Amino acid sequence: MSRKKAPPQQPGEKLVISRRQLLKLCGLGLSSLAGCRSRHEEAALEEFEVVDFDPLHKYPYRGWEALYRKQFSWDRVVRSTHSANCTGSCSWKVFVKDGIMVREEQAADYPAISDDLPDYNPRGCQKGACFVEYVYGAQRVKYPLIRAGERGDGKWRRVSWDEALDRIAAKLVENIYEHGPDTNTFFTVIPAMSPVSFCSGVRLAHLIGGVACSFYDWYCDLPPGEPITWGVQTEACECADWFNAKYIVLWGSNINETRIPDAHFAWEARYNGARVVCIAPEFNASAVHADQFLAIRPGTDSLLALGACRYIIEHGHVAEEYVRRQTDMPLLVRLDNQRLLRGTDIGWQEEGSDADKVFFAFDEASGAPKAMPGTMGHPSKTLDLDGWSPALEGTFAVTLTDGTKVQVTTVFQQLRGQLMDDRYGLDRVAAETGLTAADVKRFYHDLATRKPAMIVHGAGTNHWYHNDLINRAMMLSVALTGNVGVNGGGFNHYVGQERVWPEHGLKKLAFPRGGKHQRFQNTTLWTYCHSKMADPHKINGKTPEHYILESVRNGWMPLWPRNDWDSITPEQLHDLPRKPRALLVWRANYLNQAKGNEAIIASLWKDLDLIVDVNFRMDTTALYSDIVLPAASYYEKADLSSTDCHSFMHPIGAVLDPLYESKPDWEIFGLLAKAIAKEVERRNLPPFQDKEVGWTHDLRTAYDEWSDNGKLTTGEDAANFILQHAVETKGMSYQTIQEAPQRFVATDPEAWNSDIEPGRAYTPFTHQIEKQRPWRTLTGRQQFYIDHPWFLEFGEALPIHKPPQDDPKFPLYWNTPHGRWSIHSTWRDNRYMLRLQRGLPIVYLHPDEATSRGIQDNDWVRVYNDEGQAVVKAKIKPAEMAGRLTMYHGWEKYLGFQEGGWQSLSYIKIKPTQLVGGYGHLNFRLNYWGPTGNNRDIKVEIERYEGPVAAYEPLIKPMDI
Amino acid sequence: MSSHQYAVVLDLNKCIGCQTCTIACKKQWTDGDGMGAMYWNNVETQPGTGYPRGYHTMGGGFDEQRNLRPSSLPTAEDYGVPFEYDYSQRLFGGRKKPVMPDVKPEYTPNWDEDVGGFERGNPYYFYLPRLCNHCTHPACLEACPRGAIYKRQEDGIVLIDQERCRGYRHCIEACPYKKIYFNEVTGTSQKCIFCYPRLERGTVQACMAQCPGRIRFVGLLDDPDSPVHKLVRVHRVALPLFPERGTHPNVFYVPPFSPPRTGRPDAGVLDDPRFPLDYLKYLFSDAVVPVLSKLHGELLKAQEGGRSELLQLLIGRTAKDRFQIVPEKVRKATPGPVSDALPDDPAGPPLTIVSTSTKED
Repeated sequence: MSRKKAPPQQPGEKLVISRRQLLKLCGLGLSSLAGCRSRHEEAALEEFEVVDFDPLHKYPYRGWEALYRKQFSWDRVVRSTHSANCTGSCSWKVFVKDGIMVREEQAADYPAISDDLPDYNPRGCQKGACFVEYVYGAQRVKYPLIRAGERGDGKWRRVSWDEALDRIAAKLVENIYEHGPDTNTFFTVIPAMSPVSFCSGVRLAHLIGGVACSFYDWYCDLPPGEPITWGVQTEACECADWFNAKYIVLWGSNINETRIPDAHFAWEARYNGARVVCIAPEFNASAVHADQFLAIRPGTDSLLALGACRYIIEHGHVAEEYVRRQTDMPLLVRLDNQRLLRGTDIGWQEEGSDADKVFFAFDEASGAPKAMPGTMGHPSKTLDLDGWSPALEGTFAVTLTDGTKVQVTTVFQQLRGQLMDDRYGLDRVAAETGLTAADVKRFYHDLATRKPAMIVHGAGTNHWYHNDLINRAMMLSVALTGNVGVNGGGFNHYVGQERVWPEHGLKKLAFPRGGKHQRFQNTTLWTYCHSKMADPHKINGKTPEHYILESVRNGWMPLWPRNDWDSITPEQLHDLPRKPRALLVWRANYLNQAKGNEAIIASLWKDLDLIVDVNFRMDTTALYSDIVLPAASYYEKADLSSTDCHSFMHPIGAVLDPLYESKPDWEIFGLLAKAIAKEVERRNLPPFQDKEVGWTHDLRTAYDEWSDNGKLTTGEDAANFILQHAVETKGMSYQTIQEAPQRFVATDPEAWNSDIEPGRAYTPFTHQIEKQRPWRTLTGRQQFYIDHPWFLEFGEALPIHKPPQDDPKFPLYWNTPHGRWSIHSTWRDNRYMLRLQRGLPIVYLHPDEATSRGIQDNDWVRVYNDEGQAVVKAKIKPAEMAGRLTMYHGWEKYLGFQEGGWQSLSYIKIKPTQLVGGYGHLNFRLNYWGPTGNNRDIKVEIERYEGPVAAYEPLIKPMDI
Repeated sequence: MSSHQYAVVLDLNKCIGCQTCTIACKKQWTDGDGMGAMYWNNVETQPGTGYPRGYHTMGGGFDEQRNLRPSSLPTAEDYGVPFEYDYSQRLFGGRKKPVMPDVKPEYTPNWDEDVGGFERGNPYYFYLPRLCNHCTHPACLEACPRGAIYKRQEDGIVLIDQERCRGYRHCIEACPYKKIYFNEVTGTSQKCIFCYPRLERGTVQACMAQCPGRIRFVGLLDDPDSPVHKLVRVHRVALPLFPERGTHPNVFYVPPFSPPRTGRPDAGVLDDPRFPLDYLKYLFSDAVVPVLSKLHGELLKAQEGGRSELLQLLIGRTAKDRFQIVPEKVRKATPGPVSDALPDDPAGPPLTIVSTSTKED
């Protein structure tokens, strides 16, 4: 509301007051009311005009009310949303008045799935409610910019689009022809949040042989336990399905902060008869409403979960029929080498089979091993056992093809034996997890007996080094009880908007020549190896570099650009002869969010000749780039939005044309394709034969191919292309989804494990449970036993508990979770959000940690370790756990840090078991399988900071650039 | 008494502290000049100092003889100074120092977010959203020497006449909830208007409509069909904040229960609870005890497989179940001359979403 100062009181105007009020006021005595208004008082007393109305009952001057009615008006409303990778995918209405976007409000028109399930409305959070601030904010990139100072200085030269694009094209072309196309690297994230923008640049990378980087594993949002156990990337129920649960475990997932649009389903489920338990070191926003809160010691989650598995087994709560058919528990393991018994071991053969991928269970009736249908090498693709019941326990003798006899037992018996170790007993678990035995027992009992039971899992636990073990332990607890694959049950992991419902359409748009002609790169590995950053830990006496090199040599993991791996030593891995030369970043804040930030700036960043950022705001990566291209914001382009949290498609809409000189990503990469074609033409270069990807790139036609000969010139064209090429979105168009969010109509059985059914919340793995379709693993079952040699080497064939990687030099864990006030770095610098925090980056610490270091609330503090430091504000919080510090992630490096940034303390730690390949379902696949960029095991120290602090100064005039 | 009274129930067992209501309101009404520190709707962590700082210890309201109780005006610092940030110099102007707020942060409306209390190893807190209570006996109305604050007859909304207000701020002192703010630019006192322009057009208030926790129930307190009536009058599980201040609020809260203390997983809600009962009594009076007991009983019933009508009501599956906005009914209760003040066309500008597709149909 913006109005002029109230007019001075007109001469002769009388104050009016009711008789009742006059009496009250006289009785009370005005002077007893404090304040600086004696002049008003005098005026009031002089000018009282006692009128005969009582405003409690009647008011004669209501004409003024039109004032606020006028404010509640607009010219038009356009549907759009935000794509910051929050997993929300919330449909919003944006209100336009006088050509300005004035505010936004949730569209709140998701259709209900059924009468029983609460609907998804209103879907959206406080951040979405003030995105307009970025559209017009001071961080907005308005024009193409070329760096005029050092990277990070913020000194720019405004240039034309042509100049910027020609510069970029010249460098990319030079790299392709003189250094190889694999020196051009493209980084963007999470297609589902804006698939058109995602595809814009990836499609160009594809056509010029560039390297497309992963994100889901790099950000450690990938739960590696899922590819290991289920052979999938991530499969979770849509959040409406929470309502079907009778037991919900919030484990490492603080839904009240990080799943704002969905949290209600949990609390409504509670009213519908679910018990909710929250497991987290700190008493967090979700714990507030839980039926039970377990303040677990950081890094002991897999111990607690395996204790639960033991309890389930010991107390007879194993869902035996389910476990026999749906898990690998009955499969036979050779005791001589700990490998699963295979068809090749015993000379088993059947037409159409691959005996090395056929596995066995023991048939007690015949006294012999029997091949299990549905395994990767078995010709029968069903889990139906046709009436026979494999043994879950027992030790048996089997004769191998060479005549030798070996002992075999079942996976279940192996598991049972392992869990009977003292460490998984209730009292030991309680002692090590820092919980009371009474609390643990109640939790175990509920988890074992309440059905359906689900774990809602998040980054809190997924960001540990041993995240694969943590995942697998939790998944085991809900599989043993038969909860996976049923509505209201399972292990449901929500970190990142990774799931693209119209997957086929997206792939066709992103990789028109097919994925096998594309260079893919796991970003964790790429960043680690191309920076001078070394994890000091040794694993089995060897450095991580040893395992990395072996994995790359084996062809298990890619590492671009290609080097002569046989001649490279582990020591050379951080200073390779062939290094990346150009990096293009869009829809992401690579640098700010990268683990090992200080090392990256000191090495990788220096090795790159060209860094380009396509962005609507000047984030940290843009600030540290050479060329910044102004992108349309979320409200200025046509795109799509979907998430695994719900089952609807809705659009990103162009509320207004792109502001200033900005353009939608789709157009920007189209122009870049044209610039590349022009450059090749200018230099008269021949087509580039790219043998590694089996393609000859004729770059003179780069734009024609990119735009499919002019058929894909706009974002809307691209959106329609995706919708038309996927069964999930059959019959939808960009136009129809603007009317209302539309539920997906079907699922592609290649990509999904359940149908989408009217009236039923989507929950994964009903194909397996209800239709006996095999799981996507080597054994065709939920596979808890992995006999890959590296898993055996590390003792991780079965899920076990391993403590976090230790760092005895520093006492406190550095905990950097997702929070309520930002989506990664987006909204971190939004003043509406900062005004509801403390205005500066803060680190939370327990009162005991503060007291022992002489730190007071709101002091400046220095957090440090061997990697770097961060100087920020302290906030003392009793709900925080002693022994760690928490700093919500995503703070932009330029905001408030007197030194460093939130990622200045971290480094990359690669876990060898996540480097494996060549094993049934465990093969490198972008964002599905590859090492995760974990960051929970980092340790730090904190002290009061007495150094200089930048001044709090009033605003200087804005820069018009 | 007004003919009808719009009232609100906030279920604190669903509030997630996300502040979407706060921003919804800010962007709808208080984004203008002189309003930076103004949050007609705020959410505060309790126990805590709240917003404005220490409001609940400042007095106000009525004493037992129904006289206005003395109070004081919060200072500018108590509201928190709204920061501005000079991004353009750092990001585009080559200035190397970190971007800082323009004033040193000493307090904000959410300064002690998630801090709460701590007792015998058990932290505790909850979120308390607050807005104007549109009281049945508004102290602000009583305190205004110009009679510029009134209660609408048709729907019970309490408004400050922005044309007649002279900014004396007696109302701010008198309000025991400190839910009135002074705008130095307009020179008037301002507060939550219960989104009357929305309600008149059949659209629920911004803070209610936009609450993703779906904690908010709106309707006429006097209408037996409204969810608010059912929760307040029939099930009697919703209580006003600080009822002893004597203003009879029309915002009611379903009081919160917390998880049991560490080591006592089977404890009842009143059995040595994590959140000190005395503090809940301080906020909601002694009446909170039987309400908590009843709610927890219903919860246990549901968790043991039974069905609780009360909890089914609190689930509020769709907006229809949570909001009962009846502009026609209210309009009929509008006294004659006042109807002139109501918009001629209650439909207003179209809410229809415009297609931005460039394709032909």
